[in-house]
Amino acid sequence: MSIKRSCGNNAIGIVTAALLSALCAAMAWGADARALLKESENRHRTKTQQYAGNLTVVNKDGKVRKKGWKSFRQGYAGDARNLIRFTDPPEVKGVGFLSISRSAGQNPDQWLYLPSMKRERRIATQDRDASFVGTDFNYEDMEEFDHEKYKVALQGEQTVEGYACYVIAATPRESGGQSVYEKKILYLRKDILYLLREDLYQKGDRQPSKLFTLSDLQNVDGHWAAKKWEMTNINKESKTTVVLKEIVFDKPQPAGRFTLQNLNREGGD
Amino acid sequence: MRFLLRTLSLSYVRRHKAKTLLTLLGVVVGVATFSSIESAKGTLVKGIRSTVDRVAGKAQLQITMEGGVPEEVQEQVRSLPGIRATSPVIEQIVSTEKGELGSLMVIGIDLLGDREMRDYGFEGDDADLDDPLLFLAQPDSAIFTRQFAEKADLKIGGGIALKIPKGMKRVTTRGLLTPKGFSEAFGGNLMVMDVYAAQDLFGRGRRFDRLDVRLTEETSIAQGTATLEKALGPAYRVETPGKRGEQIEKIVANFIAGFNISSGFALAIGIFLIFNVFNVAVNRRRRDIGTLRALGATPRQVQLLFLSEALVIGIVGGLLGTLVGTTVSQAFLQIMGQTTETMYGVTSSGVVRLPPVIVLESMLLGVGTSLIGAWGPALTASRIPPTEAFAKGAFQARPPGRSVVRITAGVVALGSTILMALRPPFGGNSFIFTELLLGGVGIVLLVGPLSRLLLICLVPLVTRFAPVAGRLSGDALLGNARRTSGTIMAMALSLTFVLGLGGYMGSTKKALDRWMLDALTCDLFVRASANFNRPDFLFPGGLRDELLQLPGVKSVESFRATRPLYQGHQIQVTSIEISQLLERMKYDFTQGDKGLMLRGLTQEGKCVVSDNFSRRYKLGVGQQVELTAPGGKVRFTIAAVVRDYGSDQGTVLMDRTQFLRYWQDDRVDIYDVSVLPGANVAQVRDLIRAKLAGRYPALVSTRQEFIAEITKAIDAFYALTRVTLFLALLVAFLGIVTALLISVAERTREIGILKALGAFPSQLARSIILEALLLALVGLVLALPSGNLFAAFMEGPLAELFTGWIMPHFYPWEILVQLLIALPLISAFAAWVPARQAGRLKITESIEYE
Repeated sequence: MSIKRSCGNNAIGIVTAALLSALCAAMAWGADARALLKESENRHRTKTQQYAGNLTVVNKDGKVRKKGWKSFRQGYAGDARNLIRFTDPPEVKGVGFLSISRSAGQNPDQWLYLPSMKRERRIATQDRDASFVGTDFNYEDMEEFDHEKYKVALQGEQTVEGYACYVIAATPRESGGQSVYEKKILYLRKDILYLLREDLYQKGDRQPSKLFTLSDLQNVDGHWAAKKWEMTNINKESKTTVVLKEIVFDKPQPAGRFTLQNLNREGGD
Repeated sequence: MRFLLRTLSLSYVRRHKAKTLLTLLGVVVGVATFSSIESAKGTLVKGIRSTVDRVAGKAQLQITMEGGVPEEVQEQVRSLPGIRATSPVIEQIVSTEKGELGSLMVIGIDLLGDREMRDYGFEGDDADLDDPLLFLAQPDSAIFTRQFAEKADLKIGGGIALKIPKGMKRVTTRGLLTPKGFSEAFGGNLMVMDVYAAQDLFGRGRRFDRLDVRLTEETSIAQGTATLEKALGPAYRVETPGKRGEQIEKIVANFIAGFNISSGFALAIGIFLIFNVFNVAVNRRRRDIGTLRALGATPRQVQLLFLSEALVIGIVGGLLGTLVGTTVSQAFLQIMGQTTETMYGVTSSGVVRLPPVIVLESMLLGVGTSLIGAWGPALTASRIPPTEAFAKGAFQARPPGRSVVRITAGVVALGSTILMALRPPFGGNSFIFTELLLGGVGIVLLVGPLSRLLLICLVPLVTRFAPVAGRLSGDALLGNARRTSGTIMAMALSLTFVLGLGGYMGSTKKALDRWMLDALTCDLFVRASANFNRPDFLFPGGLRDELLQLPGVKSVESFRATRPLYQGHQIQVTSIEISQLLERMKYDFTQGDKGLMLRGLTQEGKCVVSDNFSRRYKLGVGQQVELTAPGGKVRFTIAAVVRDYGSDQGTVLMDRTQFLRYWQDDRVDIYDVSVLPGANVAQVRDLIRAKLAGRYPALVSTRQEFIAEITKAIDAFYALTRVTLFLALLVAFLGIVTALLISVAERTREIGILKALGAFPSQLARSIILEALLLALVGLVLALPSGNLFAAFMEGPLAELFTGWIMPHFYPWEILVQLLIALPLISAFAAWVPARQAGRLKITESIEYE
């Protein structure tokens, strides 16, 4: 009886110890994930960034659409302000997109400017899952990733494109504003803590519906930069590629560049 | 029964093919009129509802406001609790450079966020949007349904020109939609464009036609409505798409209701035609009936035999009528759609699909009409004793009995109709139905005795001018009272319908003409929209000052009309610079006077209402009208009541300052321009055109042109009614031909004897033509008072019930003159075949006949 009780007590003790250690491990992983993301942000934070992008959208039938844009960013992650101005083809030249991050709990303000209408239109929260001008990116994808808006947990390690990566699950916090996604799996290159891939799960997805990969990493002015971005929509079997050129970091941006007035200005960038 | 049908009935049909065919034709025309009107009407109403539903998509609520919903309201609504998504919409009906494609519904939506609202995608098999960015970046971008693109031979990148307020505008196809769900709206004649491009194209300024709203799952429609109404205030209308569809349907209800009367008349005339044919058939076959009865057939079997014949004619006529109706209904729908678009600013497009219910109704009507028409004659046939059946000619010569009772009953029915019309005991459709039923019964009962009386008076007169032909025709008509009264009944009903409805149309038109001459007194009308009831474009208020500065311009008034709901009806609220208006316009006051109106509107902030508004809502001078302005409810005291035909639901007129004060909207529908004495109107028009060129759409019409345009719209409104009038006359014409053919066939032996005695074929032909003329004349004489009564009923109680207007009565002299010219010709033409038949009869065969 006593032996039985003793065995029983032991068993309970073992289970309890296992649960506690798992919990502690999970807490430790969680803490690690946040630390890793903070460290990544610290390492790669730049004051500004600008580049010229070549955008290619290939749909499932193989039809190809190409566009060119110039992108300007000021700030980073949670305090980023972004302006994209289309340059090519001539029919879409001047179309602008402005995204301005807001304080935690609020989605960024986003506007699209159409020169033919000579006016901007605000992108509503309800429209964050809409395709960004026919690409495989949606308006939420056009925001800078801010880990503070997510609950994060380190899930392990995995090799991506020959690089060892940390695998981090990021789940949108309720207080972080509305998100199109239920979960994001981030693959952070271990050696330089640079994001190489995101698996994007929309609500109800068991498998990721989109994959975002960053490749062709180069060191520009002491900062790592992926010169090729690829967003694959698995359901639609389409792919959008952005090839970045003329990347410049920390170049001072004009004071009024990230304003609605500038967005609406004919030829303004 | 089958044996009897095969032997007796079929042999009768074989011997009288023409008569059978004409009977059949009567049923076919009646049923075709009914089924075509009903199916076109049904398709129009269903199309309007279905377009509202389909375009609404997943929207649970729709927000509208007179003059459009300001853009900023969208942001306000988005931030409200319980709101999942909002989407702005602009709707416009346009036509294309290819008129044969019909009207095209242009829907402006925000493609960035509309997927929450409507089921479509621009990928895969459902749709193909070539380049979304290009679509947004180019304001000429359009997405068409594949169905429409196929009709218009449009490919991606191809263009088509649209007729829009600013003139012709070419749009480029940048996407295709498969017609299902949303894209099936408006019969697939749908074009989707960016809502902001649509704003610019159709001059909506920074406003949308409406905001579609989708609620969160946990929010009920009632909660959502309450939240929105509280946040937006009374100037905004928050309703479900279903309710909005009902509201739009209500707008065209008056137009649609008129066709019920037309259908009813077409069928009633058909009944009398069939009654006549069967009545004569019974008389012709009295010997057969006598033989049958002598061989042991029961009265019920005889009655069933005739009813079975009627059933066969009803089924065949019903089927053919439905088929004919289906083929013409598409044309009817087009006319109806164009009219509702011009008059009410709403329409639907699509292919008429005959619903099973209408097929069933049409068949039942065909069968019912035949059975009702044949019932009396069949009953008479069953009651013929064999001995009487063999006594030739005794029955035909017998006048219908119990005339006193019949006349008394007819007078009572007709008298009750008139009394009820003067003091309606109840309203609605039941009132109309009771009136038409009682009036119809009264006419039916009185036509027989009265027509006989008239013929007795007319025949001696006619005989003086044509001694032989007159006597022969008089004998033929008076010798068979039943056949004669049946034909005259159909004729009188047709002519009552023609004179009544035609008289009503004429009175309405004359009243409107007079009103237009008094009201539309300025020299030039500067409009942005061709449509009278749906502003496709509004001018900015500041344009008035620019127009005033043009050389030759004396004054400019800014006319604005909005169409808000008042007690569930869409009334018209108009505003203009009253003091200037009163200097040139003559109002017909039913309450108050010019002085009271001027003082009330310009100094005391009062309003004037139209006579139909006053009648509909029982409001007069001194009482108040509560209107909903953007800032809330505003009460206006009525300063005067004037005759006004601006809206069939009622008009409220106020000074422009009041409108600007409460509605905060300075946009203008029409600038009324008066030129200085001696100035050249054409030159001023050119100056206005030059001033507005490239800036605003501008239709600058002179007074005469403007009046002509409105007159054209009114004519279009009655176009289909005219078609039904023609059909009614056609049925009456068939009645005369049938009656004369029967008359000739019945008198074959008599004609043979006359010929043997030396009568010339021309004398016989003249007698038959005279017979036709007498039938038409008596029908017309009887239709004169009944037509007048019918017109008075339409102009008075009926018009008041639907519109609040009481139209002044003008006797339709034009129609009467037209009938006096056309009827003798038509009658003579109708008599041509029977007359030839009589002239060709051989003496020996004729005498041996029977």
